[in-house]
Order: sequence, then structure tokens, then C-alpha cells
Amino acid sequence: MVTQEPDTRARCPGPSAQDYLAADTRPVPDVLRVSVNEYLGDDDIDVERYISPAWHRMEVEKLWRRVWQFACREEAIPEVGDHEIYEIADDSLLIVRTTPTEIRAFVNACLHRGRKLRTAGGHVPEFRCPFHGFTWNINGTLKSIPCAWDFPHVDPATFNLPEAKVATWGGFVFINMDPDCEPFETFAGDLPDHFTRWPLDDRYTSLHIAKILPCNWKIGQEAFMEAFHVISTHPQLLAWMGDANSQYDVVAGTNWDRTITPQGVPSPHLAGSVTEEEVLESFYFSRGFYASTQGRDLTPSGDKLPEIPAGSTARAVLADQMRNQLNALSGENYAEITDSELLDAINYILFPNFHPWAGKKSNIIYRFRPYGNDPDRCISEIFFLSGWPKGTPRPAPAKIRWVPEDVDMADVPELGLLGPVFDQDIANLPFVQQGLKTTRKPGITLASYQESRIRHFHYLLDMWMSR
Amino acid sequence: MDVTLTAQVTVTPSGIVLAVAETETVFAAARRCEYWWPTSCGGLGTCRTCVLRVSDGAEHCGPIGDLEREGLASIGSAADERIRLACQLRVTGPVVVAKRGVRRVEELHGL
Repeated sequence: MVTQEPDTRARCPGPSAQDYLAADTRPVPDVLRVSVNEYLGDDDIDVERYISPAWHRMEVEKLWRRVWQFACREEAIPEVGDHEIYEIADDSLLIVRTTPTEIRAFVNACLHRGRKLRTAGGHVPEFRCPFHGFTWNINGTLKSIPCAWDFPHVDPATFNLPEAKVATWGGFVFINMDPDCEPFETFAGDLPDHFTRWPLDDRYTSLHIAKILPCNWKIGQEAFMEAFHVISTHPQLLAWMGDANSQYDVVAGTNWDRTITPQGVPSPHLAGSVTEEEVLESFYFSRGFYASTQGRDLTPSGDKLPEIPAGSTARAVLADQMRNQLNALSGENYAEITDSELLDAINYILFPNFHPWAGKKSNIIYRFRPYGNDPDRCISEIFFLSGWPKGTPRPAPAKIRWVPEDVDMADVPELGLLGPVFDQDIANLPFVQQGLKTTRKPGITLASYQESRIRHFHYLLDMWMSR
Repeated sequence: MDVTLTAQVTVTPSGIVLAVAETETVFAAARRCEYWWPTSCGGLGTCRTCVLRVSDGAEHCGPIGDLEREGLASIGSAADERIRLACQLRVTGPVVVAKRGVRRVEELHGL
């Protein structure tokens, strides 16, 4: 592997993300001052992996059945007996709170004739198969067999539900179906250290949206792994988003990577043509990352936008406004919180498909996974993780809402102005999937830096597929 | 057991009358009064054997929870709110229910 330091490879002209961090009005945490991008080559990525049923089957065997993956939020199963169903391709797991301090994951199939034990999450006192009534305790041990006299060949002591490994971090439940997998702690590496300032277990799910997209799961998530597409897909954001100034952090040997996209600053594509006032005004006008119902929209008080004092910047003013708004909403003190943590898109990915955003606003989580065994479709999900007013009880998590394929994200009011932005992303995806089937070019060509996280993803994927 | 008995449930065709506390289900009241109520899961809400039909006093029946709704759907009765599971049903006033097979526990020995 050839490694090059960031300053030896081409970058967008103009201020870098680190330049904006250096100009922050507050001391920036060390984890945001890290900038590293290991060179992983520039070869084309073969098209086959996006469209081939055979590739999908190999992916199930070599990746999904062996890798740590986000299954559900802990807050979704607070009481003993609460369970969620996590499904990936043909595999179905019952994610169950078995004691107040223990969560386990059982294969969701009756050991008698194989019927799925549960077809929806909820709360049960036991797992009773609807077919013949074989029943397991919620800790997976056999409870009873109807007509047990007819099963002298079954040893009740060993007729327990098979299970997957479970780990928790940040309020998320991860599972791994490989009994010999590495511990989650080594798999995630130092990712948790990055989130000590943004604890996600201290958030509740204020919104959970799911939608079937007509594209491979990798095509879906790769649309959210770079800001390069903003210039063409989201031109309305250019006046306040430093798209091409984004920083992409990639280390070959780690399972996570990161983008920091400065916001409240003009795109380099508009360099020299946008005033600070225009940055501020367009930010308010098209701002949409935090749904108004979750109290995270930056909304001006009254009709008048805030002034930018002489010598200040739109970014500093917007951060101050966000600080004041969050102070008022949560009762917490945001005085020491950096501009970056209040404005920037700081997006991590833990391989293969878990996308937690960092920062002090409502955090977004994306997840993309195959839809059954169809390589041409995927399940895409958006979670909003929000704070709640200090001293009040934790709100109940939002239940998943499936947006039908023929309904736009713009029609999901809780997404606010983010809905139309998603629609812009989604509009490309079926045509990428279709284009990859008609192209005569055997592989896709990636940008060396701006698409280096896609490169990193495939670098890791190739390792899993070759094991 | 120290309970405040607030509601009367009449079971037909047996004519059995149960005094049911707001804190317990119809099934639990029957058990407390030493009546057998058909079940195979013991009143946990998973076997659906205790299903009954409310013939009067539906307005005194408590709401249908997720587990009960799932059970009623599995036996094809989700659309008829008069069909309930005794082990999940709470009542706040007089109710008449139809359920065969409810009898005193000691009568079971003769069957």
C-alpha cells in the first residue's frame, strides 16, 4: 500500500476544513483536528458487485454473516421481553432484552418445523410458535413442547434457540452471526473515542424513516459518502456549503472513516461571488438538516435575519444563533461548543453500513442494507437522534415509518427541508443502477480524494470477500 | 389477596359471575376464584385459547394492547372488537361475555 500525506496530493483551492476549524470561535476538540487520508489506489471499481445476484449471494455468506452490524437502538427494547426483529437478506434475528442489563439475539425460527417465531417486534412473555406452539423462554431456553410425549428424541436441555453475538455502543445494538468474530471493541477501534463529546446514548430517536430504493445498497450509501455531488445534485446548497472543501479521513487499517463538510461558508465553486450576507441569508432560506418538529431548525426570530457585525462572518453568526437556540431548547449550556459542532456535516461511517453523524445538534444516522436478496433494491433508513429538555423524562423513541416507493421524502413533514434534499439524492439512484447495467465500461472511476471513502469501503469489502 | 372488586363479569352460557378488580384481567379473576378458563399458555397472551365474545357492556372493556391485537389477528378476529382475549381483558363495569368451557376447577376432575 502506498501512503501519501494529505499535503502531497491535490486538494481543492481555497480554505480547507482545517482552515475553518483553526478559525473557529471556540477551541476545537482534538478529534476534529485530525486530518489523514491514506492513498488506497485509483483503480476502477468493478461494476459486477453492484448488479450481480451471484455477488449478492457471496456478500451474504462472506460479509453479512460475519461482520458486526447495527441491528436496533437499545431504547427500542427497554423492558425485559421487548424485542425487535433485525433482518438482513434471508437472516432474521430476534433482538431481545432478556434481563434489565442484557440484550441477546436469537435466530428467529422455530426448532420444530422452522416457522419464524415472530413477524413483528413488540413485547412478549415468551416466544410461542404460532404453528404448533413450541415455546421458548425469552432467554432462548426451551419452555415447553406441546405433546412432549411425541418428542422423546428431543433433549429439552439442549433445544435452545441459536444465537448471534451482541455488543452495544452509543445506545446502538450491534450483532454478529459469526461465533468466531473479533470483539466489537477491536472492530470499532477508536471510533467511540471520537464520540465522547457527542454521546449518542444520551439521545432519543425522534424520527425513524425507511424507504425501499431501486438500487443496490452500496449505490445507495455511496451517494452519502461524498460531498462531490452537491455541485450537480444540490446546487441550491452551494451558497452556504463548503462542499469541495470537505475533509475526508481515511485510514486503511480502520473500519471507520469520516467526512467534515464546513457549513455556513460558500462553496469554492462560487469563490469570490458570494458575500457573507448571502451565505447567511441562503443558509436560513434553504436550511434543512434538522426537522422543525424536533426543534432543530435554525429559525430566525421574527422576520429579520441577524446582522453580521463588522469583521465577523456568516459562519460565526450562524453558530451563535444555533448556540442560543439550543440553549433555549434544552436548558444546557452551549457557550463552549465550537462553531463546527453546531454547523458542520461531520459524518462517520463504521463499515459496512452504519453512518452516525457527529456534532451537538440533532444527529442523523443512516443505514443501508440489501432488500431481501434483490441486488437491485435496498432498504434505506434515516434516524434523527435528538436531545430533550434537561430534567424531563426521556421521550419514547419514534417508531419506524415506511415511506412507500411512490411517495416523496418531501411529503414527510418531519424531515423539514431535508426531505427535498433527499429526493434529489434518491432521484439519481435508480438511474445509476440502470446505467451500470448498460455501461460498456467494466468499472466505475472514482475521484482520488473526494471519493476516497468509497475507495476505502471497497478496500475493506474486498478484504472481507477474499477471506 | 387484597383487591378492590369493582366490576361484575357474567359468563354465558354457564351463568358464572366473577367479581373483577380493575387491576386484574378477567382470566386472572377466574383463576383467583378457582374457575378453570381454557388456556394452554397459562394466561400469558400467547396461545389465544382463552378467546371470548363480549355480548354486553363493551363500553366497560379496556383498550386492546399490542399483544392482544396480534393474537386476535392470528385467529382472524381483528376486525371484531367484541372478540377479546380473557387473559388481556380488563373491565371497569358490568360486562357479559360468552365463553364455553369455564367451570369450577374441581369439576375438571370428572371430565
